[in-house]
Amino acid sequence: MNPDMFRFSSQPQLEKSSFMIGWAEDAGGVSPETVDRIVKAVDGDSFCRIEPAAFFPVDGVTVQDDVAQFPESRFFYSEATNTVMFRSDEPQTHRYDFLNGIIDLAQHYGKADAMYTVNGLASMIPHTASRRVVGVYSGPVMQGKLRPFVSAGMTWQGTPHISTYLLWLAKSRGLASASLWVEVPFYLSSFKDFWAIKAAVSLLGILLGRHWDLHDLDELIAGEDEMFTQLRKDDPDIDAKIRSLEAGELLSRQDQLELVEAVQSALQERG
Amino acid sequence: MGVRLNKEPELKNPVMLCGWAGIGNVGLVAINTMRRLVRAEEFGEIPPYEFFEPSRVIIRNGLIEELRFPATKFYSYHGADRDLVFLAGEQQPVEAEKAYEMAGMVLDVAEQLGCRRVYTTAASVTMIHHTAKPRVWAVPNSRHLIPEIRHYSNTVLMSEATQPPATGEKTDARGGAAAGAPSGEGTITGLNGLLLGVAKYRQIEAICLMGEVPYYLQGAPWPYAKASISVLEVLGRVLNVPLDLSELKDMAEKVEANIEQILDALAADEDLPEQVRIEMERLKNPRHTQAGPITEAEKKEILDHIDELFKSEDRP
Repeated sequence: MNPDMFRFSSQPQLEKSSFMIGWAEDAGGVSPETVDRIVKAVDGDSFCRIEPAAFFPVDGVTVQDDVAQFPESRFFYSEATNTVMFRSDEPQTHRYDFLNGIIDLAQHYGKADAMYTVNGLASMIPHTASRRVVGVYSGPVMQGKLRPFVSAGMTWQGTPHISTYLLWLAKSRGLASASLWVEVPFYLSSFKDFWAIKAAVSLLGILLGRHWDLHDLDELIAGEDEMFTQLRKDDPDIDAKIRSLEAGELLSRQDQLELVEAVQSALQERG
Repeated sequence: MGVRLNKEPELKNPVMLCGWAGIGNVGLVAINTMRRLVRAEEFGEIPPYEFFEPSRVIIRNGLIEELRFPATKFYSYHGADRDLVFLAGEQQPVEAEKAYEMAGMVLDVAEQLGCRRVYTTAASVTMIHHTAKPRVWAVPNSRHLIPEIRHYSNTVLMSEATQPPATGEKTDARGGAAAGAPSGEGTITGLNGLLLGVAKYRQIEAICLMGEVPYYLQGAPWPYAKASISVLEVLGRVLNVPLDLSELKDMAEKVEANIEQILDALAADEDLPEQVRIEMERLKNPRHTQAGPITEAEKKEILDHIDELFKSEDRP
């Protein structure tokens, strides 16, 4: 473990803790929202952060919505649930070292027995469909443990997401891990998909043996549903496209773009 | 994380030959072809994790099976006169400091195995036509190697490269993987150049051999096998290793047929600016081409049009 990589503000005693990893940018806002909500629900305390200079450009700042931003990679701990939550921007350089650092901290400091990542998975589903959770596992034992709660195992080849890269490194270092992917309607992938967030938070609650109060998420889902009901009433073309998705049909590229634009306008109008 | 050697081959009088992915994959194709033809044996690698991002993951039924990284592997071959060490790199590090680190690791192996000379292989982007036989630009890291290079056939030094050769094609003194000038000045970007420099620092002889690639094909998605053939012809003769390049020649013919199709498609584009059309006509008739001026703006326009065609078609 490279001690220069970490800046501890306190050193809680950890033993067989579970690590939950969330990234700042994600489809449907699933990853950051889920971790933020769990940190809040378990009253997590920030105890460590990763020094950014080796992993992010630090020659200036980006400005978003009039506010200067700076990369952040922070660990939180909940004694009640023996859980460590990690929320971070995706590193821009030396990702191998960054990800190994997370595993170092999990294994050597947290003595972790499991690591979970949670992400949104943009899919050709309508917003009215239930959000399936697809899993990727470091091995059959973890797969067996999660099988009752996860819809299916993923089959896929392509460029790996950072969560998959982390999972592979964890696997190679003998840390049981799972990457949980919650389906997000593609037209909600640039916004917060509260249904998907609720599915992720609920699942992680089950894994931690906790029952969360998800009332506020239900209210947000109801508000989003209302917006969609109005959009479908106002625009028969959009309604037809969503109906096609509900019937399990695929949309053309042009139809997908039109749907994305219509939803974007409606959500922006709603604020 | 250092170099991982499965074994340390016992070599006599070895020479190291290096090739990385780059423009037209000239160097990598040359090295991979040669090491396959002589049946060189893999004996080590530079672990990719510190240098590259994973390129592909394979997940089946929820289980992560494999994460693939670009490979950088060493091979050895026992020849009649001398032994050879090959280094084939599927990718070059993006960061300069990482490229420097990799160059150092490669030369560590060269020194460890007693290599007295290193050849790197690459592309030089010039105004050659794709129907012409590419020459090989050679850049040594020591002046005393120049007389030897002058005996290599179909090979030019940088100072010679700007003079229009007998076939009438032009060479580009302004840009590309290497830029020549009458004074013999230019740059070699990437590991092929860096390795020359680091070898010089360590007092190891090194020569970079660069096969010519037409400037309008530098962004093409296929390997420019013709340039690799030129490089291999030089290496085969210099190292006294007979090489059957018929497979590579077949590949070069296929690539050339693709290029002709692309150029025909470009000529059929109604929106093609007139000046570009005239230049394309010149390219179609290389033997009538004068080493006359082509402006940077014309060159850019041609490249932009060709790049668009490459992007729009799924070709090998």
